[in-house]
Formats: sequence, structure tokens, C-alpha cells
Amino acid sequence: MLFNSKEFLLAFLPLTLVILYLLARADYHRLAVTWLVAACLFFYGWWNPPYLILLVLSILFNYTVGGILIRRRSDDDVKVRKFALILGIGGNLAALGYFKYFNFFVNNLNGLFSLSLSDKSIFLPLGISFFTFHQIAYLVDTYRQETTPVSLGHYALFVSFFPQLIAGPIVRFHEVMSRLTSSDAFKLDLEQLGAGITLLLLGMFKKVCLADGLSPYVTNVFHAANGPVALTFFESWGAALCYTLQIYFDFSGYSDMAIGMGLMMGVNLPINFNSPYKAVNFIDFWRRWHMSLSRFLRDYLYIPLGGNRKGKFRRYLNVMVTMLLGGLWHGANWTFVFWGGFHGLCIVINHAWHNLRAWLGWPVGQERRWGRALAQMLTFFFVVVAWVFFRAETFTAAERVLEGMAGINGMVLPSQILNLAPFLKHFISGQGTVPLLADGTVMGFIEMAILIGIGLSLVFWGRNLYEMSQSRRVYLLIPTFALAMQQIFFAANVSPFLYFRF
Amino acid sequence: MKTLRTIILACISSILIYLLVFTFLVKKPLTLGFIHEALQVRAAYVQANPGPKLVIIAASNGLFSYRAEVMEKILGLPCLNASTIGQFGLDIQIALGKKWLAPGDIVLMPLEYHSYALTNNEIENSDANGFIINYAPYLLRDLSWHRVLCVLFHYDLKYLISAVIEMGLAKAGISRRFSKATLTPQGDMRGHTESRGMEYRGYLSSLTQAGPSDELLYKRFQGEIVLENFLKWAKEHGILVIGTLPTVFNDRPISEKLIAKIASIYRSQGQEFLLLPNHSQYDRRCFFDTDYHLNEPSQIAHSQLIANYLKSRLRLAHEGN
Repeated sequence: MLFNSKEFLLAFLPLTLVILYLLARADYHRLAVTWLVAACLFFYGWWNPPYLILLVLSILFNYTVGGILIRRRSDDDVKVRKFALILGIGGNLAALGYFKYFNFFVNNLNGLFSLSLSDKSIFLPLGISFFTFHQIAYLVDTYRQETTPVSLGHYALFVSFFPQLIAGPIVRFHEVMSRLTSSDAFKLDLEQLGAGITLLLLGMFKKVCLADGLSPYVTNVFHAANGPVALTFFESWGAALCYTLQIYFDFSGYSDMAIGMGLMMGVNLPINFNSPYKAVNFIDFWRRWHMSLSRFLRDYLYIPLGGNRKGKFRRYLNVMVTMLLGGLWHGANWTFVFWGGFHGLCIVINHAWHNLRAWLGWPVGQERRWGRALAQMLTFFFVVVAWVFFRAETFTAAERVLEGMAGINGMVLPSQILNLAPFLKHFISGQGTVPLLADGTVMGFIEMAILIGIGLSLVFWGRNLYEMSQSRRVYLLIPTFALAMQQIFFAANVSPFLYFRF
Repeated sequence: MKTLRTIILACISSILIYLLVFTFLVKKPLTLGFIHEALQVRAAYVQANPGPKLVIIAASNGLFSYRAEVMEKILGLPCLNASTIGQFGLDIQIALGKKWLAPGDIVLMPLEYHSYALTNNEIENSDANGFIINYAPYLLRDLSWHRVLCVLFHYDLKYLISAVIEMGLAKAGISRRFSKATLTPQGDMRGHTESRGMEYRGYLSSLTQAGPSDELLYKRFQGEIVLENFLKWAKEHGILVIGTLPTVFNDRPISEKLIAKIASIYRSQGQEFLLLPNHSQYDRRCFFDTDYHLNEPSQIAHSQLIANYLKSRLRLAHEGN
């Protein structure tokens, strides 16, 4: 069930909330938790009922391992606790590995050693990457004695809480558990409900109007790039920029909706995006993009690997390992690994540059305005280039798009546009139809260019929703609400969130 | 409570502003306004040429590949090209054609292959919705309440952007490649010459040949239902409808089974189907800017061919009477 589907908005969400509020009002806390867990499992099972078993087994397994870690807290039980932690993390990674990476592994083995092992038709369970990470974090926190014992119901709710079950934000136990277990949890708070509804609606606008509006301009080019096509400059840049904006509006829209729905139930989920395209370098970018994942990778991978405590070389190595695995987490394809590695390399260069500046006596963070603007543009440029690898299905496809962006296949625009501005004919060739430029029509190209302009203005200069007051957010509903509803109730298609496949 | 009240007020304002903006303030004078102008040209023609006539109803295949101007000389009766564009759903294409029809008329329908396989969703969400609200609100009378809602809430952010641009371009006196000025008095497109088509050659060579969907053989689409209703209506009103195939590339033959299926839609409703020996398939060089759009010389030649077949068909009918 998608957040932007009619059945979710008209039936599931209102029904879940009304019954939850009634139960909480009558002080039936346990019943309220049970109801919410049932609703969350229904939400998950709606998509593919058999995989509900996987989620339930995963919850039971981790709750049991967590229980051992909690019960064996004495110093004599260090070995048992270590074993339980390894078993727990191993179990989670094994499930993730099987469902997400089995075929990837087999195909690579076949390629490397000329084997003919057959792959399996495994359907990736929705949200497995997220609920696995949630639970690994829980086990590690429990091992570190940073969690408290909770009932199975509360634990199941922590994992399956439907606003964040499928695509995050990745929350930590202590961030939400105090709210989930408090006696006044789930009670109707009109202020919170209002704030939640506003975020839900604005997030929906980002997803269905901005991200989905840009989507067709991306799909046609990246699809064509799988075949022998010579993409031209504007076709490639159009698709790359549209994807850069699409993935941001899609995922940050989803996160806003999740945070909004959390608030409606009195749960504060962590912010996941903080205007990432305003970042002035890659370190800054990862403090702003998918913040809950960055935090997870930092706390549960980078720091345990040694972080920056073992010298510069180890620090850079740890960054690279973290980012390569972070890339692989996004999908079973070398293009994702490359994307992670590319970001890792940029972060390493970034650290090295900071070190060099410190050595030269140029303080970091005191750049002039134009220097910051230049840094922002440079960062954005490389982020866009990296997204090409993230979106492309193969390296060859990515290469074709990048060739186009580099202008190797020339610059071509529709002749009608050039006729309006003849001086451009000195640099740009005219063609009747440029098939992969937007939808191949002149008006389509202008629409795309303006949508990119609107999108870039928003991400570069606009304040994000969390920098605004609630009353300002409500004002934003006036230009956006009807457009979002139009997409949900009257547009031909409802598309899933991009991060659902991760 | 105040917060919720403010949110509800903001949402209601949003919907009211949306309806106000898209119903009264923005329109697409170039793309949709062109169809409105074409209707005016056709109205003038019908007024000047009363009596039984041949009317061509299709999407842009009808506009670019058929020349009523040529056909009327061969047939010796008034011919009107009432075709619109493919982005209009079949229901509105037909509704706009229907307004010219009277008992005794003949309708030629070279419908595009995809028209037969249109889903309900595609018909309800077609670009005709924008045309109806701005240029033909009278069509709302014949639509179901759900379809009316689809018309009222058809407009997205992209529509808003392109409408504002079109209004600006129209104000600056900039017109599209094709406009009222490139229509014959009969409503055909003209001026899509071979030389103008040269800049589309590369694009044309990259296109795959259009053809009917295999699904037509085992699935009943809304497009088929809409067409059947029209054919039935025409029969009841003494109007002869002759279906024919649209013009596409001749890279590969169109399946006989699918042609038979398309023909059967017309014939099952007591109407006719005209199948040219070449199945309306031509070399890519005969096309202008995309499939379904013959260039002008080929448009004229194809129209002559069709008109000659129709002529013998009508002569036979006349002799029969």
C-alpha cells in the first residue's frame, strides 16, 4: 500500500488513527499497541502477504536475541553476549544477503570463474534493507546496554511502525521507545495532528507533483541508454538534472510524509534531509542527505572500523569501506557500489583538502561568499555525475549518458527553439524532433526546462519544511494541496517511491 | 482545533483557487486553441456546403494523411476533415466529429491503431479535458458526473507551466508550426511538404512501426466500446460509417488477424470497412514528422487512392438503389 494511494489515504490511515485514538483515550494502552502492530502488519502484508512471515520471523528472532543480550548483562556473560550479537547480526545479514544479493553473488561468481550456477527468482521483500538495519542497530545498542527491556508488542511496533517501515527514516531504539511506551502515547493531540497532516500533505506534493512530474524525462533517456544511442548534450543533462531533483523530492517527500504520520501518532521520527543540495562539500552533503542512514553507517560501521582514531590512512580506508558498503546497501549492482565509492573518494579528497588547508593555515569554514557558492556548485556538479551511475542500469548506459553530458555527441535542440533565438545556431544544431529531449516535443522541452528551474530554485534557495514555522507550512498548502490531490485522485498512474526498491 | 481549522481552510482555498485558475484564467491557445480554430474553419465550410457530405473522423492521422479537398473533387460531394489530435480521447474525437453529421452523410474513420485499445483511464484523462473546459464546455452536458470531475481536475503543474508559456507566446504573436493558416477550407492540414520534412528524417528512421495491439484479439478495451456506441448511433441516424486502416510505415505487414478484428468492429454494427491493397502502409520517405503523418504529396496520393475506392463503392450503392 503506497502512502500516495487512495486506499491508504481514504481508508487505512483514517481508520487506523481513529481506532488508535479511541483506544488511547480509554487508556487501553496495550490494546492500542496491539491494534497499531496489527495495522502495521496489515500495511506490510497488503503488498505481498507471504513476506509478512519474513517480517514476523525477523521480529521474533531479533527480539529473542535482544532478550538474551538483556538478560546476560553480567561480566561473566561477555562471551555469551558476544556470541548472541554475532548470531543476531549474522542472521540479519544472512536474510538480507539471501533476498537481496543472492543472484548478484551468483552472477558475479559465474562471470569471474566461468561457472554456470543458476540464479533464483527471488522477489525482494519491501523494506528489508530498512528493517534489517533497524534491528541490527537495536542489537548493537542492546549489546552496549543502551536499551531497556520492552514487551514483544512494543518491540514489534518499533520495527514495523508503518510510517518508517518501508523506507525509513532509520530510527534508533531510544529515539522512539520512550514515546511508544509512555502512558499517554497515541492520545489525540490536535496541535501534533495538525503539524503531522501538514507535513504529510506537503510531502505528498513533493512526491506526486515534483518527483513524479520529472520522472518521465528521466525514464526515457536512461532506458534508451541501455541500447546503442548517441545521447546529445541537452538530452543527457536534462535527464541527469531531472533525476537529481526527482530522487530528492521523491525521498524527502516520503520522509516528510513518514515524519508527518509519526507526529499524528505522537511519535517524533528523526529528520532525514536538510537541504542536501546546499552542501558545500561531500562531508557536508552526507550530513544533509539521508541523515538517518549516514548516522547508521557512522555509528555502526565507520566508528567500529576505527573511524578517525587510527591515523589518516586508516581513516580514509574506513571512509571508503563505509561508503562502498553504503553503496551496495542501495542495490545489488556494481553501479551502486561505484556510486558509493565515488562518494567515498570525494569525501576522502574533501578530508585531504581540509588537512592541506589546515597545513597552509587557511581556516576551513571561513570562505567568502563566492567561494562558498563555487564550492556548492562544484559539489552539486559531482553529485549529479554520481547520480548517473546510481540511476543507470549498467556502466555502459552510464557512460552513454556521461558522454552526452560531456557534449561528445553534440548539442541539439528543436529547430523551432533555435528559430526564436537564431544566435544559438552558432553553437547548437537544430533538428525537427529531438526524441529524447523531454517528451520529444518543443513544449515538453520548455516544460522540462521550467520544472528543472523551479526544482533547482527550491533546492538551492528555498527553506526546507523544518526551517519553517507551522503557520508558514499551512500557507504552503494553498498553492500545493489541490495539485497534489489532482495527482492522487485523477492522474492516470500512481508511482511507487524510488527508495522502495532499496 | 484552530490549527486544524486553518488547515481545512487552506485546503478548501487551494481547491477553489485551482478551479478558478484552470477554468477561467489559464488556457492553451496554441495547442488546444488550434483545435478550436479548426472547428471554426469547419463550421464555415459546413455552412457553405449544406447537404450530404463525407466527413473524416480520426486523430492527427486524419489531419495529415487525408485531404478532403482532393477527395471532394473525385467524389463530387462535399468533404470535411473533422480530425483532431491523438491526445484527445476517442470519445471527444467522436463527439467533435458528430456535431457536423446529419442523416445521409458518410463518415470515413482511419482511426489510429492505439485508439482501439484505449483504456477507460486513458480516455478519461486525455488532453481533451483541457479543451472542453476552455473551448467546448457544452460537451460537459453529455458526460457522466465522474467524467465531469475528470475534466475539472485534469490539470497538473506541467499543464500550468505550458499553459502560461502558450499564453505568453500567443500574446507575442508566435504561432505553432501548424495553425489555422495551414488548414484547407475543408479542414485538412497542408504545407507539410517533403522539404519541410527533411529535418525529421533522422527521427523517422529511429521510430518503430506502429501497429495494432495483439491484446485486441482477446481483450475488450474502452476504445472499442466507445467506437461501437458511435457506430450504432450512426446506423440509427442513417449515417454510413466506413472504417479504414491508418497510414503507417511498411517495414512489416500488419497481422491479418488483427485487421480482421478491426474490420469486424465496424461490420458487426452494420457499417463497412475499406481495406486498401497496401493496407495503408507506405515507405518511411512518404512520412512527414512521425508515423501516421504522411507528407503532403503522399497525403494527396493516398487521398486520391481512397477516394477512387470510395467512388466505386458509392457508385455501386447508387446503382443498387
